[in-house]
Amino acid sequence: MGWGPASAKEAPAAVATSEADEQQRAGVGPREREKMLTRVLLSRILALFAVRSSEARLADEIQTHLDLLTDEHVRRGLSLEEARAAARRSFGAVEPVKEIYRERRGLPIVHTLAQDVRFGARLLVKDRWFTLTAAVTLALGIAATSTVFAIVDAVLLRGLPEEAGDRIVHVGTRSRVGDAVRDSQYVSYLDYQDLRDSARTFSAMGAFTDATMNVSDDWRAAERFRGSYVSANAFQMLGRQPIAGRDFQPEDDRPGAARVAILGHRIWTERYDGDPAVVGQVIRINAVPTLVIGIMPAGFRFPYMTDVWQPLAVAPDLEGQARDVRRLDAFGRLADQVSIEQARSDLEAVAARLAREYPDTNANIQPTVRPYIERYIGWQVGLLLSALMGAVVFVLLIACVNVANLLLARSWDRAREMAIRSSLGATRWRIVRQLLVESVLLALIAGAIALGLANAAVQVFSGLAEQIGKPYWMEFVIDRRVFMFLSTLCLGTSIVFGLVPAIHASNTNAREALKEGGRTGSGGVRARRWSSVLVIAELALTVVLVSSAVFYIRSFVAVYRADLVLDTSRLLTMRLTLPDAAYATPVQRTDFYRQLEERLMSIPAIASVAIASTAPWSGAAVRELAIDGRTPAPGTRSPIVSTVTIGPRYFETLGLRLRRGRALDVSNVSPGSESAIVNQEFVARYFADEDPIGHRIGLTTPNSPEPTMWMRVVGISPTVRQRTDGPGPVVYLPDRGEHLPLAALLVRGKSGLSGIAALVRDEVRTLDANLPLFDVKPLDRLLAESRWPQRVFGALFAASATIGLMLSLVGLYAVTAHSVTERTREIGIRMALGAGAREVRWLILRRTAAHLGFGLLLGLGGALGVGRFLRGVLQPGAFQPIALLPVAVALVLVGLAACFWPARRATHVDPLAALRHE
Amino acid sequence: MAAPAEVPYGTLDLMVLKTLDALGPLHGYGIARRIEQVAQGSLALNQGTIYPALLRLEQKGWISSAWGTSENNRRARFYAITRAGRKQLAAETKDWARTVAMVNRLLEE
Repeated sequence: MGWGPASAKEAPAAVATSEADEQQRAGVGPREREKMLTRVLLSRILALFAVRSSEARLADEIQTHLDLLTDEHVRRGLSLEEARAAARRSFGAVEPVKEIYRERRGLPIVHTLAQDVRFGARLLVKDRWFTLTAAVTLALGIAATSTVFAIVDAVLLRGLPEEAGDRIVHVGTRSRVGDAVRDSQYVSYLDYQDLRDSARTFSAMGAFTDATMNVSDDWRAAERFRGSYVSANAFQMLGRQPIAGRDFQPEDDRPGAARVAILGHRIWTERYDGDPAVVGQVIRINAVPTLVIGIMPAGFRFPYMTDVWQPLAVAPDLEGQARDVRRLDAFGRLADQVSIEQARSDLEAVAARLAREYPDTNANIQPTVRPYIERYIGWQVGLLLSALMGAVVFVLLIACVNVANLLLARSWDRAREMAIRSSLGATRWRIVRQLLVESVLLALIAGAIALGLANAAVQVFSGLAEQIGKPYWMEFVIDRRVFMFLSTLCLGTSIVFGLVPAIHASNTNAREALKEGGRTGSGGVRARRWSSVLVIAELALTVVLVSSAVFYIRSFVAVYRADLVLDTSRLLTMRLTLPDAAYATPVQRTDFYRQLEERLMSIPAIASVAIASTAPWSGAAVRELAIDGRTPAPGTRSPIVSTVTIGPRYFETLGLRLRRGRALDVSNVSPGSESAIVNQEFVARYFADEDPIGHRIGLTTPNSPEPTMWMRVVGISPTVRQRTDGPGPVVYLPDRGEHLPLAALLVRGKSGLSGIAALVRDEVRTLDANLPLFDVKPLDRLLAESRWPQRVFGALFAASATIGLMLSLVGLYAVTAHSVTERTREIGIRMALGAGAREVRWLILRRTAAHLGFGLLLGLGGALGVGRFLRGVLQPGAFQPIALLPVAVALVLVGLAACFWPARRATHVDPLAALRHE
Repeated sequence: MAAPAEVPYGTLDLMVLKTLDALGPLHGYGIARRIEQVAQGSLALNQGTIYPALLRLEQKGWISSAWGTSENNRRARFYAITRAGRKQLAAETKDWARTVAMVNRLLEE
């Protein structure tokens, strides 16, 4: 090798380092190489941002090189022209060098990707109608799914916003008789104390009970707030501190302790104008002077939506409560590394000990342990939300299928473009990638639209939820989680709807597509088969979706019909609470109510007045039912009924007539003569073939199966719904004052409701100035509120079904219309050969009918499965397969109608023109 | 003399590094000329192919480059070997010598 003389002074040094280096290289070879690769990659990435300057540098360098070469040749005696040519010859071809150089310089994949993006964007702008259709379709699907996800996230997934909120659990009671199991939210005070003191799997355990608290002071009128009595450790356990004042101390939480309270942020800002000086003041809560010791931060309303807290120990009647009076909510924080199952078996061991020690009250009692929010979110809500989530996922799938079909139809038109690309050397991957890039761009546009739509929808929902009252931890917002979900959906869907058309298009046989008239070749048949599959899938999804909506709406209508039994016009409801301190005995309460009724009845604008433990549709106390002379089959539980305690004129005020029998006798209170009225639903369930009048019924609790008192059924009322989940059996009991510290007042006006609330308030104030009236609202508003969940879920279901139906009809139409265009030539030939308009129409509609048929068949099968799954949340009778018949008929008719127009267009094909087509 | 051979695969880097090590900073043209001179016509070098090689070496950090002025006053980019480049050169020279010795032994047998 004829290398020139090496620089004498550098060579030894180079050799010396190289030996050391050699050893080093042997040792850390892979790491060195990795470092090298990183370095190369880095410089390539940097080069991406300097394309222009490095391009200029390359051009400069090559030019200099050529100039130097030319100089050299001129020096050797060539003319300038010849020298230039010679320079080019010895340099070699310039462009390939540049190309190799470029490939090595940046990251080729980024460059080609940028090309794809530019090209895709141009195409989307060019086909703007296509873009708009596809993007809006997708956006509807994505927005619906994201909205429901935001709701599901807030209701079911996110949980308590407290520090490690998922470690907070709720402890309730499970009672067992034979095989039957009944869960209750509540534990008794004594059980709670034993569980708290013996549990080893909890880092802390506390309890609370909710109560209405009437807040009054020397400066303002009395107001009623939602209050809670909480154990002193509650806030500490949740990791929250008052923003002013102090937390509860153990000394506050002792029977007979000086009364203290902590105010919520809302009452502090609204009632006390955010004045910190309220801490240290004495206010009255339920007429008892109470020292305000602290203020909690905004948004904190534990356990549910509380505004005022007092220590648990001062809750009324708590001390000395029997072990089987179960009215407390217990909750706790799991100790580190402890699972819910471990905590459960720990508490079960304690409960087993209690069962041995107190067999009378605890024989069949076990604790339940579950995540805190499950105390408030029932399984029905979970089921309903999953059903709704399923529905919107179906909408999204339908939207995807639709867009896939649009893309597939377009891939027909682009077959030639793809063929040219592939014959110019584009690999299959390159073509698929280009098409996927287009899909992603489309999905991004859709995502942007969807974000706007979902945001609006969630805000509307949040507003509605705010009106109804929602637990403090639920916030309906598009937060980062929901945004991530939406973005993932965008990218996910772009793959779902983009992949099939892309693979299909990349598969196109180049020669076939470039041939004259190659459109009707085998590629077309394949694409048609794909689009058939997609349309059938879409129709099947739609049938399932619409059917579920039909089931749900039937259920809602059943409730709605049942509610028509009441004439709600001119009816006002309001509630009041008689504080224990001033109204300690039943006689005092009864006296107050009778006086109030008398005063109100004497007002000319009022037609009728009644009090009850609760108004219609506002829930009711539930008890277990015993029927005299019938013993429940062993191992089964007694049925559960709602009980409403009513004063005189209750049915009269509601405008109801008893179906049979007589009204309750309120005045006769001698033992043994107690009477009750049951509703028709009760009769239908428990006295289907017997006359209930004259029978004796009793109400029991899980621990005393023998009722304390038997009552004779004296009348049958129409069925008035008490609970949100539908009409159920109700027993009406006469008011004797003992059950009504909290009462609903029902007032029917003579001609209207204006001014009546003020009149009632005046009368109440005359009797007792410290009693606030609250929840004053017309009965029809109460009704609307009680139906709110069904209405909202019904509307969401119906909206999803409508969107899905529209999308799939558009899809069916598009596929049919496209098949007409694509088969123009075939139709032309058939017509030239003598086919009539009817044959041609049938040719087109036959495929549509087949799509509809298969789609329906698959869809109905799915609908029956889903309906069965939904049964738990539906009214009895709402799930009826026969109800799907109209769905099927309507879908077929609308589907055929939508496709009739393209089919008609087919009959107008001019055979001569068609043969020239393409 | 036989027809000029193609540049053997992988040796261009080595030649460039050696040239820069021996002669100090040079522009692309100078490097190409130097290699041609040494090869004395036994190598068919497309001078343009030197540029992708230079880029590769620079990306690996074995050479560095800067603008300068050529002997006849033209703006040119000058390349210089770095410390890492010298190490690499030493390693590759050794590898090369080993390979050549091995092939020679094989051929002599």
